[in-house]
Amino acid sequence: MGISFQRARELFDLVNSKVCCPSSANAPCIPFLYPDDGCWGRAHEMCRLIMAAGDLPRKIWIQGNLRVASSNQPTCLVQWSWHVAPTLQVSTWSGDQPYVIDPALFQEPVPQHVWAGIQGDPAPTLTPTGPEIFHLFYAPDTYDPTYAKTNTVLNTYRNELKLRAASGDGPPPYFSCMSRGRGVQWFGMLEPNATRRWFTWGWPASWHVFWTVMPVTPCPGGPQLAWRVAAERASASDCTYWVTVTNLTGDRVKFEGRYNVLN
Amino acid sequence: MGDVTSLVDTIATIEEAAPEQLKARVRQEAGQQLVAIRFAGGSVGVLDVSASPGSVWASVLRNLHELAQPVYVEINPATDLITQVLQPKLQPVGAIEPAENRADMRVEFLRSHSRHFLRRTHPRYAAMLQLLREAQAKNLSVWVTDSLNTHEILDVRPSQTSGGKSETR
Repeated sequence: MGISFQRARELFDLVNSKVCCPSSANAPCIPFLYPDDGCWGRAHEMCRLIMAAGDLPRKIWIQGNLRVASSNQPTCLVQWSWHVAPTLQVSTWSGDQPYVIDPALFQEPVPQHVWAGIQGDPAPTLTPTGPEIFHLFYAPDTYDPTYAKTNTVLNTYRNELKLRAASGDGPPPYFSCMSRGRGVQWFGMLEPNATRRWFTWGWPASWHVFWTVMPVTPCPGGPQLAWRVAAERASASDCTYWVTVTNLTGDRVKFEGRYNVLN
Repeated sequence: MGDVTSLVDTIATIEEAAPEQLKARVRQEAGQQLVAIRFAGGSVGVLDVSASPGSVWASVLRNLHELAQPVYVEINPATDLITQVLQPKLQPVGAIEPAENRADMRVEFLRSHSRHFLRRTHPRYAAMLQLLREAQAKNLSVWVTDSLNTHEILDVRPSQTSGGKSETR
Protein backbone atom coordinates (compact mmCIF):
# COMPACT_ATOMS: atom_id res chain seq x y z
CA MET A 1 0.00 0.00 0.00
CA GLY A 2 1.52 3.28 -1.10
CA ILE A 3 1.66 6.48 0.88
CA SER A 4 -0.29 9.62 0.02
CA PHE A 5 1.23 12.30 -2.20
CA GLN A 6 0.92 14.62 0.80
CA ARG A 7 3.14 12.28 2.86
CA ALA A 8 5.63 12.07 -0.01
CA ARG A 9 5.71 15.86 -0.11
CA GLU A 10 6.33 15.99 3.66
CA LEU A 11 9.28 13.64 3.24
CA PHE A 12 10.55 15.69 0.28
CA ASP A 13 10.35 18.83 2.44
CA LEU A 14 12.12 16.99 5.27
CA VAL A 15 15.18 16.15 3.16
CA ASN A 16 15.11 19.46 1.27
CA SER A 17 15.24 21.34 4.58
CA LYS A 18 18.79 20.01 4.93
CA VAL A 19 19.99 21.97 1.86
CA CYS A 20 23.45 23.51 2.28
CA CYS A 21 24.01 27.24 2.32
CA PRO A 22 26.48 27.41 -0.57
CA SER A 23 29.30 29.43 1.01
CA SER A 24 29.32 27.84 4.45
CA ALA A 25 27.94 24.34 3.68
CA ASN A 26 28.30 23.04 7.22
CA ALA A 27 27.77 19.36 8.05
CA PRO A 28 25.29 17.67 8.14
CA CYS A 29 23.74 19.66 5.30
CA ILE A 30 23.12 18.03 1.91
CA PRO A 31 24.72 19.75 -1.12
CA PHE A 32 21.66 19.67 -3.39
CA LEU A 33 22.87 22.91 -4.99
CA TYR A 34 25.93 21.15 -6.43
CA PRO A 35 24.19 18.97 -9.04
CA ASP A 36 27.36 18.03 -10.94
CA ASP A 37 28.35 15.05 -8.82
CA GLY A 38 27.85 13.13 -5.59
CA CYS A 39 24.25 11.98 -6.13
CA TRP A 40 24.86 8.58 -4.53
CA GLY A 41 25.91 10.23 -1.26
CA ARG A 42 22.88 12.53 -1.33
CA ALA A 43 20.57 9.59 -2.10
CA HIS A 44 21.94 7.47 0.75
CA GLU A 45 21.58 10.32 3.25
CA MET A 46 18.05 11.05 2.03
CA CYS A 47 17.12 7.38 2.49
CA ARG A 48 18.54 7.48 6.02
CA LEU A 49 16.40 10.52 6.87
CA ILE A 50 13.27 9.00 5.30
CA MET A 51 13.75 5.70 7.14
CA ALA A 52 14.34 7.59 10.42
CA ALA A 53 10.95 9.25 9.80
CA GLY A 54 9.35 5.79 9.65
CA ASP A 55 8.93 5.30 5.89
CA LEU A 56 10.60 2.83 3.55
CA PRO A 57 12.20 4.27 0.41
CA ARG A 58 13.83 2.47 -2.49
CA LYS A 59 16.29 3.85 -5.03
CA ILE A 60 16.13 4.29 -8.78
CA TRP A 61 19.35 4.28 -10.81
CA ILE A 62 19.47 5.66 -14.36
CA GLN A 63 22.28 5.11 -16.88
CA GLY A 64 22.72 6.74 -20.26
CA ASN A 65 24.01 9.83 -22.01
CA LEU A 66 22.35 12.12 -19.49
CA ARG A 67 22.19 15.90 -20.03
CA VAL A 68 20.08 17.96 -17.65
CA ALA A 69 19.46 21.71 -17.71
CA SER A 70 20.23 23.24 -14.33
CA SER A 71 20.34 26.84 -13.15
CA ASN A 72 22.62 25.64 -10.33
CA GLN A 73 25.51 24.97 -12.76
CA PRO A 74 27.26 28.02 -14.27
CA THR A 75 27.20 26.41 -17.73
CA CYS A 76 23.44 25.74 -17.24
CA LEU A 77 23.98 22.05 -18.03
CA VAL A 78 25.05 18.95 -16.10
CA GLN A 79 26.28 15.87 -17.95
CA TRP A 80 26.17 12.51 -16.26
CA SER A 81 26.75 8.89 -17.18
CA TRP A 82 24.37 7.82 -14.42
CA HIS A 83 22.30 9.24 -11.58
CA VAL A 84 20.40 7.96 -8.53
CA ALA A 85 17.68 9.23 -6.19
CA PRO A 86 15.28 7.73 -3.59
CA THR A 87 11.77 6.63 -4.55
CA LEU A 88 8.56 6.20 -2.59
CA GLN A 89 5.48 4.22 -3.59
CA VAL A 90 2.63 6.74 -3.83
CA SER A 91 -1.06 5.85 -4.09
CA THR A 92 -2.64 7.36 -7.20
CA TRP A 93 -6.02 6.95 -8.92
CA SER A 94 -4.40 4.35 -11.20
CA GLY A 95 -2.68 2.41 -8.41
CA ASP A 96 0.65 2.70 -6.62
CA GLN A 97 3.42 4.46 -8.55
CA PRO A 98 7.06 5.18 -7.74
CA TYR A 99 7.68 8.88 -7.12
CA VAL A 100 11.22 10.22 -7.00
CA ILE A 101 12.59 12.46 -4.23
CA ASP A 102 15.30 14.53 -5.92
CA PRO A 103 15.65 18.13 -4.70
CA ALA A 104 18.68 18.56 -6.99
CA LEU A 105 16.29 18.44 -9.95
CA PHE A 106 12.75 19.16 -8.75
CA GLN A 107 10.85 21.17 -6.15
CA GLU A 108 8.48 18.33 -5.24
CA PRO A 109 8.15 14.53 -5.61
CA VAL A 110 7.65 13.56 -9.27
CA PRO A 111 6.59 10.33 -10.99
CA GLN A 112 9.58 8.21 -12.00
CA HIS A 113 8.87 8.62 -15.72
CA VAL A 114 8.94 12.42 -15.33
CA TRP A 115 12.27 12.22 -13.46
CA ALA A 116 13.78 9.97 -16.13
CA GLY A 117 12.23 11.98 -18.97
CA ILE A 118 14.06 15.24 -18.24
CA GLN A 119 17.51 13.63 -18.29
CA GLY A 120 18.01 13.89 -22.03
CA ASP A 121 18.46 10.24 -23.02
CA PRO A 122 15.46 8.79 -24.89
CA ALA A 123 16.42 5.21 -23.99
CA PRO A 124 18.09 5.16 -20.58
CA THR A 125 18.58 2.04 -18.48
CA LEU A 126 16.59 2.16 -15.23
CA THR A 127 17.46 -0.14 -12.32
CA PRO A 128 15.44 -0.09 -9.09
CA THR A 129 17.15 -1.30 -5.91
CA GLY A 130 16.60 -1.32 -2.19
CA PRO A 131 17.86 1.60 -0.09
CA GLU A 132 20.82 -0.44 1.18
CA ILE A 133 22.69 -0.18 -2.14
CA PHE A 134 25.14 2.71 -1.76
CA HIS A 135 26.87 2.49 -5.16
CA LEU A 136 25.50 0.24 -7.90
CA PHE A 137 28.41 0.63 -10.33
CA TYR A 138 31.54 0.36 -8.15
CA ALA A 139 31.73 -2.96 -6.34
CA PRO A 140 33.98 -1.91 -3.40
CA ASP A 141 31.37 0.70 -2.47
CA THR A 142 28.22 -1.39 -2.93
CA TYR A 143 27.16 -1.02 0.71
CA ASP A 144 27.62 1.62 3.39
CA PRO A 145 25.73 0.47 6.47
CA THR A 146 27.63 2.84 8.81
CA TYR A 147 27.22 5.88 6.51
CA ALA A 148 30.98 6.49 6.73
CA LYS A 149 31.31 6.53 2.92
CA THR A 150 28.17 8.65 2.69
CA ASN A 151 29.70 11.26 4.96
CA THR A 152 32.91 11.26 2.94
CA VAL A 153 30.99 11.85 -0.31
CA LEU A 154 28.87 14.59 1.26
CA ASN A 155 31.97 16.30 2.68
CA THR A 156 33.68 16.23 -0.71
CA TYR A 157 30.76 17.86 -2.51
CA ARG A 158 30.09 20.38 0.26
CA ASN A 159 33.66 21.51 -0.42
CA GLU A 160 32.98 21.68 -4.17
CA LEU A 161 29.87 23.78 -3.52
CA LYS A 162 31.86 26.15 -1.30
CA LEU A 163 34.66 26.51 -3.86
CA ARG A 164 32.17 27.28 -6.62
CA ALA A 165 30.28 29.79 -4.45
CA ALA A 166 33.59 31.56 -3.74
CA SER A 167 34.50 31.75 -7.43
CA GLY A 168 33.70 34.60 -9.77
CA ASP A 169 30.41 32.94 -10.65
CA GLY A 170 29.22 33.25 -7.05
CA PRO A 171 26.71 30.96 -5.37
CA PRO A 172 23.86 29.30 -7.24
CA PRO A 173 21.61 29.94 -9.02
CA TYR A 174 23.27 31.42 -12.12
CA PHE A 175 21.50 34.33 -13.78
CA SER A 176 22.68 33.38 -17.27
CA CYS A 177 20.56 30.22 -16.91
CA MET A 178 17.47 32.12 -15.73
CA SER A 179 14.91 34.30 -17.44
CA ARG A 180 13.54 37.32 -15.66
CA GLY A 181 10.01 36.47 -14.64
CA ARG A 182 7.08 38.86 -14.66
CA GLY A 183 7.63 41.58 -12.08
CA VAL A 184 11.40 41.02 -11.80
CA GLN A 185 13.29 44.25 -12.53
CA TRP A 186 16.84 43.01 -11.90
CA PHE A 187 19.06 40.26 -10.55
CA GLY A 188 21.74 41.13 -8.01
CA MET A 189 24.39 39.64 -5.75
CA LEU A 190 25.73 40.92 -2.45
CA GLU A 191 28.97 40.00 -0.70
CA PRO A 192 28.76 38.90 2.97
CA ASN A 193 27.37 41.62 5.28
CA ALA A 194 27.52 44.16 2.45
CA THR A 195 25.09 46.97 1.62
CA ARG A 196 24.63 48.27 -1.90
CA ARG A 197 22.19 50.61 -3.65
CA TRP A 198 20.51 50.10 -7.03
CA PHE A 199 18.39 52.64 -8.92
CA THR A 200 15.76 52.27 -11.62
CA TRP A 201 14.41 55.26 -13.52
CA GLY A 202 11.61 56.28 -15.89
CA TRP A 203 8.71 55.06 -13.75
CA PRO A 204 5.47 57.05 -14.17
CA ALA A 205 5.04 58.98 -10.96
CA SER A 206 1.30 58.33 -11.09
CA TRP A 207 1.91 54.60 -10.57
CA HIS A 208 1.96 53.17 -7.06
CA VAL A 209 4.96 50.83 -7.28
CA PHE A 210 5.79 48.39 -4.48
CA TRP A 211 9.36 47.03 -4.32
CA THR A 212 10.52 43.82 -2.71
CA VAL A 213 13.78 41.91 -2.68
CA MET A 214 13.72 38.11 -2.72
CA PRO A 215 16.81 35.93 -2.10
CA VAL A 216 17.24 33.22 -4.74
CA THR A 217 20.22 31.57 -3.03
CA PRO A 218 18.72 29.08 -0.57
CA CYS A 219 20.07 29.25 2.99
CA PRO A 220 17.55 28.22 5.65
CA GLY A 221 17.90 29.35 9.25
CA GLY A 222 17.42 33.11 9.36
CA PRO A 223 16.75 36.28 7.37
CA GLN A 224 19.20 36.87 4.52
CA LEU A 225 18.36 40.30 3.14
CA ALA A 226 16.81 43.58 4.24
CA TRP A 227 16.04 46.56 2.01
CA ARG A 228 14.70 50.07 1.97
CA VAL A 229 13.32 52.14 -0.86
CA ALA A 230 13.77 55.83 -1.56
CA ALA A 231 12.09 57.84 -4.34
CA GLU A 232 13.26 60.77 -6.46
CA ARG A 233 10.87 62.89 -8.52
CA ALA A 234 13.06 63.14 -11.61
CA SER A 235 10.60 65.14 -13.75
CA ALA A 236 7.00 66.29 -13.73
CA SER A 237 5.86 62.88 -14.92
CA ASP A 238 8.59 60.36 -13.97
CA CYS A 239 10.37 59.14 -10.88
CA THR A 240 13.45 57.16 -9.98
CA TYR A 241 13.48 54.52 -7.24
CA TRP A 242 16.61 53.91 -5.17
CA VAL A 243 16.63 50.47 -3.55
CA THR A 244 19.28 49.83 -0.87
CA VAL A 245 19.82 46.15 -0.09
CA THR A 246 21.73 44.77 2.92
CA ASN A 247 23.05 41.23 3.20
CA LEU A 248 22.41 40.11 6.78
CA THR A 249 24.51 36.97 6.47
CA GLY A 250 28.15 35.97 6.29
CA ASP A 251 27.56 34.32 2.90
CA ARG A 252 27.20 35.74 -0.60
CA VAL A 253 23.52 36.01 -1.55
CA LYS A 254 21.89 36.39 -4.97
CA PHE A 255 18.45 37.93 -5.26
CA GLU A 256 15.67 39.22 -7.48
CA GLY A 257 14.60 42.87 -7.30
CA ARG A 258 10.83 42.69 -7.74
CA TYR A 259 8.13 45.28 -8.37
CA ASN A 260 4.36 45.31 -8.33
CA VAL A 261 2.22 48.14 -9.71
CA LEU A 262 -0.67 48.40 -7.27
CA ASN A 263 -2.94 50.84 -9.12
CA MET B 1 58.29 32.52 -17.07
CA GLY B 2 54.63 32.24 -16.26
CA ASP B 3 52.86 34.03 -13.46
CA VAL B 4 51.23 31.13 -11.60
CA THR B 5 52.69 28.07 -9.91
CA SER B 6 50.30 25.17 -9.50
CA LEU B 7 50.88 22.69 -6.75
CA VAL B 8 49.28 19.49 -5.49
CA ASP B 9 50.38 18.53 -2.01
CA THR B 10 49.19 17.82 1.52
CA ILE B 11 49.28 20.63 4.06
CA ALA B 12 51.90 20.40 6.82
CA THR B 13 50.75 23.34 8.94
CA ILE B 14 48.39 26.29 8.83
CA GLU B 15 49.79 29.36 10.60
CA GLU B 16 46.95 31.65 11.60
CA ALA B 17 49.25 34.66 11.54
CA ALA B 18 51.62 34.75 8.58
CA PRO B 19 55.29 35.52 9.42
CA GLU B 20 56.49 39.08 8.81
CA GLN B 21 58.63 38.21 5.78
CA LEU B 22 55.61 36.70 4.04
CA LYS B 23 53.46 39.71 4.93
CA ALA B 24 56.12 41.93 3.38
CA ARG B 25 56.09 39.93 0.12
CA VAL B 26 52.32 40.23 -0.07
CA ARG B 27 52.50 43.94 0.85
CA GLN B 28 49.76 43.46 3.44
CA GLU B 29 47.04 46.12 3.33
CA ALA B 30 44.97 47.41 6.24
CA GLY B 31 42.19 45.01 7.18
CA GLN B 32 43.80 41.98 5.59
CA GLN B 33 44.21 38.90 7.77
CA LEU B 34 46.98 36.79 6.32
CA VAL B 35 47.32 33.07 7.00
CA ALA B 36 50.34 31.01 5.92
CA ILE B 37 49.78 27.55 4.43
CA ARG B 38 52.91 25.37 4.59
CA PHE B 39 52.88 22.31 2.35
CA ALA B 40 54.54 18.96 3.00
CA GLY B 41 56.93 19.49 0.08
CA GLY B 42 58.23 22.77 1.53
CA SER B 43 56.22 25.30 -0.50
CA VAL B 44 54.36 28.12 1.25
CA GLY B 45 51.27 30.04 0.21
CA VAL B 46 49.55 33.01 1.82
CA LEU B 47 45.82 33.52 2.05
CA ASP B 48 43.87 36.65 2.99
CA VAL B 49 41.01 35.25 5.08
CA SER B 50 39.40 38.60 5.84
CA ALA B 51 37.12 38.31 2.80
CA SER B 52 35.85 35.91 0.16
CA PRO B 53 37.25 33.94 -1.60
CA GLY B 54 40.11 33.58 0.89
CA SER B 55 37.83 32.92 3.85
CA VAL B 56 36.00 30.15 2.00
CA TRP B 57 39.22 28.68 0.60
CA ALA B 58 40.64 28.62 4.14
CA SER B 59 37.70 26.58 5.42
CA VAL B 60 38.18 24.04 2.61
CA LEU B 61 41.96 23.90 3.21
CA ARG B 62 41.43 23.35 6.95
CA ASN B 63 38.98 20.55 6.21
CA LEU B 64 41.36 18.80 3.78
CA HIS B 65 44.27 19.31 6.23
CA GLU B 66 42.25 17.55 8.97
CA LEU B 67 41.60 14.68 6.56
CA ALA B 68 45.27 14.60 5.45
CA GLN B 69 44.11 14.89 1.85
CA PRO B 70 46.08 16.73 -0.84
CA VAL B 71 44.96 20.10 -2.13
CA TYR B 72 45.47 21.83 -5.48
CA VAL B 73 46.54 25.46 -5.21
CA GLU B 74 47.79 28.08 -7.62
CA ILE B 75 50.29 30.52 -6.14
CA ASN B 76 51.56 33.83 -7.47
CA PRO B 77 55.35 33.32 -7.24
CA ALA B 78 55.99 37.05 -6.90
CA THR B 79 53.89 37.43 -3.74
CA ASP B 80 53.23 33.85 -2.54
CA LEU B 81 49.52 34.69 -2.55
CA ILE B 82 47.24 31.74 -3.22
CA THR B 83 45.11 32.61 -6.25
CA GLN B 84 43.08 29.41 -6.68
CA VAL B 85 42.10 26.41 -4.55
CA LEU B 86 40.67 23.17 -5.90
CA GLN B 87 40.02 19.78 -4.36
CA PRO B 88 41.72 16.65 -5.83
CA LYS B 89 39.68 13.48 -5.55
CA LEU B 90 40.91 9.90 -5.27
CA GLN B 91 39.40 8.15 -8.27
CA PRO B 92 39.47 4.64 -9.71
CA VAL B 93 39.62 5.00 -13.49
CA GLY B 94 36.93 3.59 -15.77
CA ALA B 95 36.51 4.03 -19.51
CA ILE B 96 38.80 6.37 -21.44
CA GLU B 97 37.45 7.16 -24.89
CA PRO B 98 37.41 9.96 -27.47
CA ALA B 99 35.06 12.82 -26.61
CA GLU B 100 32.32 13.90 -29.00
CA ASN B 101 34.68 16.47 -30.57
CA ARG B 102 37.17 13.61 -31.31
CA ALA B 103 40.08 15.85 -30.27
CA ASP B 104 39.81 15.37 -26.52
CA MET B 105 39.32 12.33 -24.28
CA ARG B 106 36.34 11.62 -22.10
CA VAL B 107 37.34 9.90 -18.87
CA GLU B 108 35.03 7.94 -16.60
CA PHE B 109 35.89 7.84 -12.92
CA LEU B 110 34.17 5.11 -10.99
CA ARG B 111 33.45 7.28 -7.94
CA SER B 112 31.81 10.00 -10.02
CA HIS B 113 28.75 10.22 -12.24
CA SER B 114 29.89 13.44 -13.88
CA ARG B 115 31.56 13.49 -17.30
CA HIS B 116 35.24 14.48 -17.18
CA PHE B 117 37.36 15.65 -20.11
CA LEU B 118 41.09 15.56 -20.80
CA ARG B 119 41.80 18.34 -23.29
CA ARG B 120 44.49 17.74 -25.91
CA THR B 121 45.53 21.37 -25.46
CA HIS B 122 46.65 20.75 -21.86
CA PRO B 123 50.47 21.01 -21.76
CA ARG B 124 50.69 17.68 -19.87
CA TYR B 125 48.03 15.89 -21.93
CA ALA B 126 50.23 12.95 -22.95
CA ALA B 127 51.70 12.37 -19.48
CA MET B 128 48.31 12.55 -17.78
CA LEU B 129 46.71 10.24 -20.35
CA GLN B 130 49.48 7.71 -19.74
CA LEU B 131 48.95 7.91 -15.96
CA LEU B 132 45.21 7.41 -16.41
CA ARG B 133 45.72 4.42 -18.71
CA GLU B 134 48.21 2.82 -16.33
CA ALA B 135 45.83 3.29 -13.41
CA GLN B 136 42.99 1.83 -15.47
CA ALA B 137 45.07 -1.21 -16.48
CA LYS B 138 46.31 -1.90 -12.94
CA ASN B 139 43.02 -1.10 -11.15
CA LEU B 140 44.70 1.72 -9.25
CA SER B 141 43.25 4.99 -8.07
CA VAL B 142 44.73 8.38 -8.93
CA TRP B 143 44.33 11.85 -7.42
CA VAL B 144 42.46 13.90 -10.01
CA THR B 145 41.85 17.64 -10.00
CA ASP B 146 39.40 19.06 -12.47
CA SER B 147 38.11 22.53 -13.23
CA LEU B 148 35.22 23.87 -11.16
CA ASN B 149 32.54 24.11 -13.82
CA THR B 150 33.54 22.27 -16.99
CA HIS B 151 35.22 19.27 -15.35
CA GLU B 152 38.33 19.52 -17.49
CA ILE B 153 41.14 17.51 -15.93
CA LEU B 154 43.89 19.83 -14.69
CA ASP B 155 46.09 17.41 -12.80
CA VAL B 156 46.54 13.65 -12.29
CA ARG B 157 48.81 12.13 -9.63
CA PRO B 158 49.45 8.53 -8.57
CA SER B 159 47.74 7.83 -5.25
CA GLN B 160 50.84 6.43 -3.55
CA THR B 161 52.90 9.62 -3.93
CA SER B 162 52.42 12.63 -1.69
CA GLY B 163 52.69 15.26 -4.39
CA GLY B 164 54.94 18.20 -3.75
CA LYS B 165 55.74 18.73 -7.40
CA SER B 166 55.05 22.11 -8.82
CA GLU B 167 55.06 23.66 -12.23
CA THR B 168 54.97 27.16 -13.57
CA ARG B 169 52.74 28.20 -16.40
